[in-house]
Amino acid sequence: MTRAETRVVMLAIIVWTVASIGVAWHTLRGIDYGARSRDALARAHALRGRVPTPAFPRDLDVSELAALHKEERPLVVDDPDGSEIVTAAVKDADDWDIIGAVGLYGRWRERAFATAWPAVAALLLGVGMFAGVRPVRDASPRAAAVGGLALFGAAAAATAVQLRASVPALASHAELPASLSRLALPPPSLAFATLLLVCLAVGGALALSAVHWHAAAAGRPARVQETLGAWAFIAPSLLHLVVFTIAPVGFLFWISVHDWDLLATDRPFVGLAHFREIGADPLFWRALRNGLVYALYVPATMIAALAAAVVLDQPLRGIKLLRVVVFLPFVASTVAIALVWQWLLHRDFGLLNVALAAMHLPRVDWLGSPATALPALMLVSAWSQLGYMMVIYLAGLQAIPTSLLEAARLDGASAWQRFRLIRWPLLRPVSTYLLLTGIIWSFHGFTLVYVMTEGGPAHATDVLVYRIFQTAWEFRRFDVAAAMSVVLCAVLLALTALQWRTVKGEAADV
Amino acid sequence: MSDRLLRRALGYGAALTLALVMVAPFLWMLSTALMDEFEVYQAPPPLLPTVPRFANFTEALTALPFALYFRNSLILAAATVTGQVVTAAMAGYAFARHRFAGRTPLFAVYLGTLMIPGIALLVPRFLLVDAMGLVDTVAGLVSVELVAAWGIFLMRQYFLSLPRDMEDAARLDGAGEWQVFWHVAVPLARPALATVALFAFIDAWKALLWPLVIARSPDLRVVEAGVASFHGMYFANWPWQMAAAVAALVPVLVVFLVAQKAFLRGLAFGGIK
Repeated sequence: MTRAETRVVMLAIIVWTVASIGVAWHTLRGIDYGARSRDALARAHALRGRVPTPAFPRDLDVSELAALHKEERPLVVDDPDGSEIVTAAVKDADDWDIIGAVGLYGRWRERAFATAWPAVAALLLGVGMFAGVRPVRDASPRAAAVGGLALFGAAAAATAVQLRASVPALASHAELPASLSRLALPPPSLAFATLLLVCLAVGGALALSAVHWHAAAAGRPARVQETLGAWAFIAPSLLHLVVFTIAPVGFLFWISVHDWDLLATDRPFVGLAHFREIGADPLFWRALRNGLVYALYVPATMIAALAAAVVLDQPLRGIKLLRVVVFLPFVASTVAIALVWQWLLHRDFGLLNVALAAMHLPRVDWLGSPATALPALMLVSAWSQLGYMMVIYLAGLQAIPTSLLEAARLDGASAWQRFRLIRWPLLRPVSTYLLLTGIIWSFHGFTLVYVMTEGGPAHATDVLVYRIFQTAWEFRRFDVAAAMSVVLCAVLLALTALQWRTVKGEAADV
Repeated sequence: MSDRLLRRALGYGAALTLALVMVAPFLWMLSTALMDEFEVYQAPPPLLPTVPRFANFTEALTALPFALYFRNSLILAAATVTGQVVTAAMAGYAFARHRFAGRTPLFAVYLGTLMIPGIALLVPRFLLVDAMGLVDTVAGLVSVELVAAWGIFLMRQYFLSLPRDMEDAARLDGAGEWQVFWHVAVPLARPALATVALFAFIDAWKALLWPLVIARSPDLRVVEAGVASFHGMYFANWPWQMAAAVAALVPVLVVFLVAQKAFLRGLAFGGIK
């Protein structure tokens, strides 16, 4: 790489950075908020009278508007003059009655961009990544720099268009009169968009530097080249882990100590207020206790699974087929399992109660009474996970050398003694593994509760995950739900740490 | 001799009873799915439909737009499988084969992410995806499970167990890093990739919570969410519900039965993790 080429690349990086920041600044400054919001407001007032009229593709009634509002979902209708209007329900100052709708303009081109930009940006980044993976031996650095500039420029342009398209929603929200206090369509965060543009600017500069370094590395020692290549291989998964796992951990703690309202723009720091709130909430403690009781199905299932593994360990014809059959519930769709068990546990027509009645025993309202609902869910969980635990135990059993068992048999040990003194101690690592991972997984259980009991009756099956789900998505208290998640996270991390420690301890024993 | 026969009979008896307990709910699901709407309310209930009513399936699956839900589930599953397989192969390969600056700390970071319970990240992930404007879009639906640290570990272990001779030979022949990976390493790693793909598919098909919170419009529902809401709408029509449940089961059971071996290999890996 010649000095001239290096200079070109450096120049490109500087131009890129300046241009991106310029685009961001211009986009944010260049929009006439006043005119846009007045326009949106005028159209909103015009729409207010029109909403429940046949001028729309179909009639809307108040209940539909209410549903619309509940889902916070804008309705897209065609404006007579050809462009698109997104309407959203508007509620009164008490946040109760729906008194109208707001129409927000979006030209089709802007809307198309707004929906397509993430895909476009992802595609461009992917292409850039691929270009980084390929050896740039044959490509000149100048070509690479220009290519990178074009890619990130297009991504920035798409973002800028998205920003412009979404600004009217924000502006009209900000200027709505007090009687139209809330807009169901949450405004996109301007701060986030700014952040995104800045990231693009920095990312573009970084990517170009990487291209530059890569090209320059052609003459460098193999170690540098290998490092570059390996990071390129790891980049896609690392990017995803940072965005969707590592950043959310920090974000989780941040939300849990701030007030978070989807519609409000200010999010004041509130310290531990949300934690005090859930600490004072008996339902939270109820959910935590339910979760601990629910986790008891794990040891119970393990015993059954061990028995099943011993039974299926016999050298019988067709035993492999039976093993597969026992395993089926573990892979089956959980909603389907929830439905069939709800039917089996039905108070009047469920097979279980029919069988009880046939034996002249009283019928049990399995899912309808607080005393039996949680045990019923535990039964279903046990049934669906028995096969998995059985397979793990079976692998453990088959790893035990038969010579050991033979020797014990020759020494006159009974079948029970052979099990208790040889198999059981040798299976101990498997058992601890199953117990701890099983308990961790029991705290993830959501589907059965959601489909079969919805946390009821009288919160008897309300587990932490369901509480978080309800608090966030039904009561819209994301901050409180985050505080609950922090507690859940702490419990599960402690269990995981315990599991890894036992794994390590056992590895040290061997 | 008779003692041995007795043992065998007992063994078979226990094994068959176990299998029956495990499979009975499925059979009952299928049987109910073929019954008449009011036939199920007889006392005592019939174990088999008097006349199998296959129309339940067509009726139940058109009462809600299940074709759409299946499409959404397939999109979710396809994206999850593709994303997890590609990233697991690439990162697993790099961790197993390359010596590079930052490998140990980076590997520790990946290890650390395995400890974080995904369920606790539901709220921040949702708000993050919301800020990106991706709520109620396919991109938002598929976004969070595109990479599985678990799969990366499996691939790393698998690549470590493979000899590197062929890769070195390809390098001597002048192949670039990408070519070595794509033409030599990936074909050798096919069994492990199948395991990653299978687990990704089953997890994606069974996912309910994330699809539930991310899809505001009914058009973006996946099969699991569709069957759950179907259950709420037709709670008294058990044959229809069971028919929908059977339909939701079929794809994942077929995939499992076809690819059992890959599945058991994955479990064994989890068992020694």
